[in-house]
Amino acid sequence: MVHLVTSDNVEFVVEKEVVERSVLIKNMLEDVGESDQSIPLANVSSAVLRKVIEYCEHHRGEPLPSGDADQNQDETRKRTTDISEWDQKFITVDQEMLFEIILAANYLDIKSLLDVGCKTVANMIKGKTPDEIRRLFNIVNDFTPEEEAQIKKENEWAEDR
Amino acid sequence: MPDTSHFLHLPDDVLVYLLDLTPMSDMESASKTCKQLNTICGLVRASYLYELNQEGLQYNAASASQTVSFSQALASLRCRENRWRTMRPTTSFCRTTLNESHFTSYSQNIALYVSRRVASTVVHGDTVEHSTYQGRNDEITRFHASDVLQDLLVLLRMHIGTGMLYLSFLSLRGMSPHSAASRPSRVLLTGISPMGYMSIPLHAHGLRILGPWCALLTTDRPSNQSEPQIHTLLLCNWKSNALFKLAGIHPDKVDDFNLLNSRTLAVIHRASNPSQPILRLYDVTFPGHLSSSGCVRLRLSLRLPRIEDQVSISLSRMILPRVLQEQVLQPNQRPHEVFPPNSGIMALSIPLAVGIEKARLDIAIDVASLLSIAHDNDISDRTMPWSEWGPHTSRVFLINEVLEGDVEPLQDIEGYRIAFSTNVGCTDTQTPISDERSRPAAFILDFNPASIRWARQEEKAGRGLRGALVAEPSVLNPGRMLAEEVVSSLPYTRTMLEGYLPRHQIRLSRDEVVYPANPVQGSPLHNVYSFA
Repeated sequence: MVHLVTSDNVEFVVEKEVVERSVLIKNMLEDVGESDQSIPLANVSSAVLRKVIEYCEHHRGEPLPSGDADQNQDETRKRTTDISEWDQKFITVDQEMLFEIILAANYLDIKSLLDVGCKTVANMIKGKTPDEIRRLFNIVNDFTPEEEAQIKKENEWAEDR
Repeated sequence: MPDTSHFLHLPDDVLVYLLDLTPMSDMESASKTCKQLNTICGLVRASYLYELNQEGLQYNAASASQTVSFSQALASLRCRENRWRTMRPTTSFCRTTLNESHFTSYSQNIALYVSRRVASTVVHGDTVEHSTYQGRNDEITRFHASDVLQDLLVLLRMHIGTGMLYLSFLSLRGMSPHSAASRPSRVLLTGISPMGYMSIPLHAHGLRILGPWCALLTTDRPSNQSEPQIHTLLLCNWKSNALFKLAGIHPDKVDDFNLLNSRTLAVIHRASNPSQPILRLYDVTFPGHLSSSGCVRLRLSLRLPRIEDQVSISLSRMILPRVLQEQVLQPNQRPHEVFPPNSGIMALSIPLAVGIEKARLDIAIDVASLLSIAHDNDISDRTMPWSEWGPHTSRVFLINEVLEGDVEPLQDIEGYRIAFSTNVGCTDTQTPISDERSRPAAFILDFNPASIRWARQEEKAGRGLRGALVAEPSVLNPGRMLAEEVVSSLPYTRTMLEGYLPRHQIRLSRDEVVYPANPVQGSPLHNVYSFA
């Protein structure tokens, strides 16, 4: 069993097999060896870690993507809509949580979870205009009017070719 | 609603990863939302744009793919451009209709087709894209001849009004169908650089590309029949657009020509009175860094088998082993310019006719032996009779003309292999086949010494061969067509292609042959016979 301590000081006790889906923790355990010392995860809150562990529990036993399987990874990355039903349900959370999960997956180095998160965001953007994307993510348009005119002009040129 | 964007709080490397997964069109939208995303999208786009730029293509944001991301587009671009550059196109001089039989099919189904009307057609998977090059806007021109080397297409065109010929160099690179940057229906023609008009109307015998050179053998038609013809070899460097005129070609009538390597030009001449085919080899010096002028010098005249006087000879053809091998390339690698290897088999095809009876003399010649004969000869202007050079360097077939239509009986050469179509039972014989029992068939003749050695071992060991090994010399007796006894001894193995359909082209590649055949299961258009 592995002890993990989150940023808000909650301790999680997780099976080694489950938690080793995270390359970061796997490497840590290999470095440290067998020990009961808890691992501090300063960048992950308990709410997010709970979700991450839920994901790892569900995908327990699935082969880990290895470094030399680059081609295969490219294959699976191919279509953004390719998210399994369980993952889809799992990732149906509010935006804040979604980005927290992406951040945690990036930090903990869980590639499959990072892909699920990123694909979900890509699907959210799909077919939207820049204005709709701004509203979706609460992005402030910080282009100057001149820059905006420039972008528009580039596009017009492209369209009538 | 939160007052800051959680999305933009993701670290840049995560945003890059995320946008790398996003389809191109969606990423374009994202890049227009704010400065931060604009910068990050620029990073994602950069490697793709770099590669496009390398290929001379332009990125069109308006037609960005809605399903494919930039990283996938980059991978597919590399893959397709490499395939495109290493493909070997089909060129055609006389075909005016477009149907599947004229296409060369490769494993990836890309084909290039050049015809009189349509300058080029690209078949990519199921989509057919074509583009017509009619010349300049203000003129009506007629397509005369063409050749393709990698992605350079040269068209020899004639201005109908004046009969002047000029060369157009078209880069096909922009035509490469490529999924992401341009709409599939749009075909770009780039690099059009007409060389300008030549001063006099020309009679040209086709053109050949060799490395950076385009060679054109032309004849000035004398006003008076009794005057000898003057042939000129025109060399045009398509990189510098420099044009050189080289004299020194024998005044006999020219049928066909080709460059055996960067120093040797082979021309099939026809001596008049009596009409006899002669193969002449010339030394060619290309204009280069050291000397700005080139020269052509006759090295050796080789007599081909003597034909009976009453037999009329039509335009002969010469086929050389293909210049370009399909190169296996790394994504960032470019194919190199290849000069023809000084090995392999070249083939001559001489159509003969007596009255309504037609026949064809096909001669396969070992290129390496031919070059060594030329090299060893130090007597200038020497003429060798067939018996002196032919028997040990060649294999001669006298074949009844049975296959009609526009397909060449000698169809393709790759290295030491020849694709050869004929009627069953009439190879190596002189008897005209006229009964209905004979049927068209196609063979692959393999003259590779290694194949012959292997076939001999197999035969000695009693194992069955897929084809037949022909090692005995053949002797063609003088008769209606031939005026002398013709001995030829080059050994070869012969494999018959099952279910071959006539009137279609056969294409050879290093490892397999693609040919149209009766569909076995389903309806495959092409049969592929693997040499492995």
